[in-house]
This record gives sequence, structure tokens and C-alpha cells, in this order.
Amino acid sequence: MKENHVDPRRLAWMIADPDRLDPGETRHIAQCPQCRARVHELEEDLARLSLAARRHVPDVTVRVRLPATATRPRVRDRFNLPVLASAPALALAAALVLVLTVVFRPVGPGLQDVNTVAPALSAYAPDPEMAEALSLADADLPGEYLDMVDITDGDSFQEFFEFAAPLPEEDLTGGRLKKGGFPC
Amino acid sequence: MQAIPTRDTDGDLARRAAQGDRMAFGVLADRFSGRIFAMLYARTRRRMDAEDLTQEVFIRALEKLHRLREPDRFGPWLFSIAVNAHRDHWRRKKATEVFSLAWRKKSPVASPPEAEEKVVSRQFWDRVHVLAKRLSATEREIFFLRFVDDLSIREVAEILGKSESAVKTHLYRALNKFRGETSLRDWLKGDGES
Ligand SMILES: [Zn+2]
Repeated sequence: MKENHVDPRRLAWMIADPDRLDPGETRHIAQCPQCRARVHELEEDLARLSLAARRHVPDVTVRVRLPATATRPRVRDRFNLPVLASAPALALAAALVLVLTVVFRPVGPGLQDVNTVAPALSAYAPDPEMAEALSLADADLPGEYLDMVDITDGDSFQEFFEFAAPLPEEDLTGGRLKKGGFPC
Repeated sequence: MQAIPTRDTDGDLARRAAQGDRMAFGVLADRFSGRIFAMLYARTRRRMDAEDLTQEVFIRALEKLHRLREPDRFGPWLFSIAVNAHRDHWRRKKATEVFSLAWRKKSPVASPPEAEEKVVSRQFWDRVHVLAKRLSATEREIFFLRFVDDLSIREVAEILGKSESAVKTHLYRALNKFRGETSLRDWLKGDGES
């Protein structure tokens, strides 16, 4: 085949949405064993991923227990939560941060005041991850979480501490995910 | 987890469960708990957390079932509850670690991946999570729902409340990052042969 192969990146449209390919690309792929082989290999690896994801999950040791009356259980605490971090203590800690903020606020008017909380928090958390954790604990999630369509592409994992990917604060039939999700 | 054999569709069971039939909800729980657990394990890598969250998902579902307008979409609806339960779990965990750290003034309590995880499973999930870190938040959730949790694009769109077109766009970007993860892809090829 003389003509150029389809850009390997664009071949991913064959899996995500073949309609996004140009007619010329579609025609080429239909006739080109090499491009079809690339797509096929990607499909096979994705199938292996799904299979492995099932295979490498441990056995469940408990069955779902349904209460006589619907009450929500607390997730077991497995983070070695110190006594301080009980609910009243959290309030106490928040108050302490507030006091430190007031005590150590920089003298002088103007824009300096805007950032007074950050130095107080950084006293607890010298490293950036901690500082972000602190801000996440009180503030809303980054805008990125709130508008999933307009999210900018790229490696934004610095905004995370681990794999977890929080979702928008929306309504889910009485909870979240109201935008077109499941109206109720 | 084995689903209980029954001819009833998810929608039939969800309709009956919404009217107070607890046995019908029990069948749904048996039918879906394995997948919900697997989905949560892929995100937490801690069996006990995943089990607790699975439990929480079904309690939430039971509480809100009467508000589900389309019982035939019970599956995606349940997954959307699971996605949010995981998100809440993540926030709770972060808040806890923050105050744990403030109190102890040392590194956060390391919560290592499942200690019982077999070596081969750990190899797999370690590689998957390397990929996860290369994905944006949206790409990650969409890619995982589609290819780890094995849901259709329509279901993913429903779960996240997004258009199918938007889901496909993010999926395309995620697929190209997956394409470049040779360590994971090579490992997967070997895993299939083992
Ligand atoms: Zn070609």
C-alpha cells in the first residue's frame, strides 16, 4: 500500500467513536492490514485489561447485609484515626487554625489578607501535598472536578494523592449527579 | 460472586423492590454486589474498604430506590451511587489523614495496597495505577468505567451524567495514553498466557 498509514493516535477513534474518522481514514483502514492489526492489538489489550481486572480482585468475604430499616452504616475506620480527630476535636482543630490565623496575620491592609490562611496551614503541613490536603479538607474540590466536559487535558495527577477521582458535587436522585444522570 | 438465577430483569426486580419487596432487592444485591465490589476494589485496592463501601452503596440504593424513575436503568444508577460513594470515601480519607498528620507531626499513615494481594495481582494493579496517574480525572473515571468495570459507553454517560459524545472524546484521549503504556500492555499479554 502506497498511501500513508493512518496516524496511530487517530486509530483510537476506531474504538472510541469510528464516526470521528474521516472517510478517507475509514477507507484506508478497511483496506490496510497493518492499520487494522494495530487497532486489533489495542482492542485485544483492552479485553485483556478487563479480564485481568476481574481476575485480580480478591474474593469477597462478606455478603451484603440489608438492614431491617434503611440506615447508612459508617465505613470502618482504618486510618488509625487519633482520638483528636473525633468530631468535636475536628471542630477544635479548626478553631485552633482560625486562632493561629488571626494571631499570625500579617500587619497591613490590602491584598495580603487574602492569603493569611495559607501560612497558618503550612505550619502544619510544610510539604505541598499536605497543604493541598488541608485545602481539600475545607474547600470545595478543584474546578476541574466540577465541570467534567470542559476539563483540560493533561497530566493533572498532582491534584491527586492517589488514584481516586472524585466526582462533581451534583445530585444523584437525592444525592448527586443531577445533570442528565438520573432525574428523580 | 454468583448471580441468583432468575428470569426477572433488573427492571422488574427494581420495580418490585421500590414497592417494598425486600427479597427482590436482595436478588439485585446478589446480582450486582460482585461487580460493585470489583469496581471499588480497583479504586481503593483495599478489600475491607471495598467491602464496606459495597455495603454502603446498597444501603444508599435501598434508601433512594423509590426515587429511581427508570427502574430498567438500575445497573447504571447503582454504579453512579458507587462512584459517588467512592468519592465521599476519598474525601473522608483525605480529611482523616490531614488531622492524623497534624496530630502526629509525621508522615501520613501509610495505607499500603491490600496486604493480602498476591504478587501477580500487585504487579497488575501497580501498572494500572501508573496508567491512572497519567490520566486526567475525567479520563480516568471514564476509562476505568469502560474498560476496567466493563460498562458500555451509554452506561458510562448515564453514570456520569455526561453526553456520549463527551465520553467518547475523553475515552479517545485515555486510549492513546493506554496505548503508550507498554509496561502494562506487555504485562497483560504475559498475564493472559499464564
Ligand atoms: Zn495503514
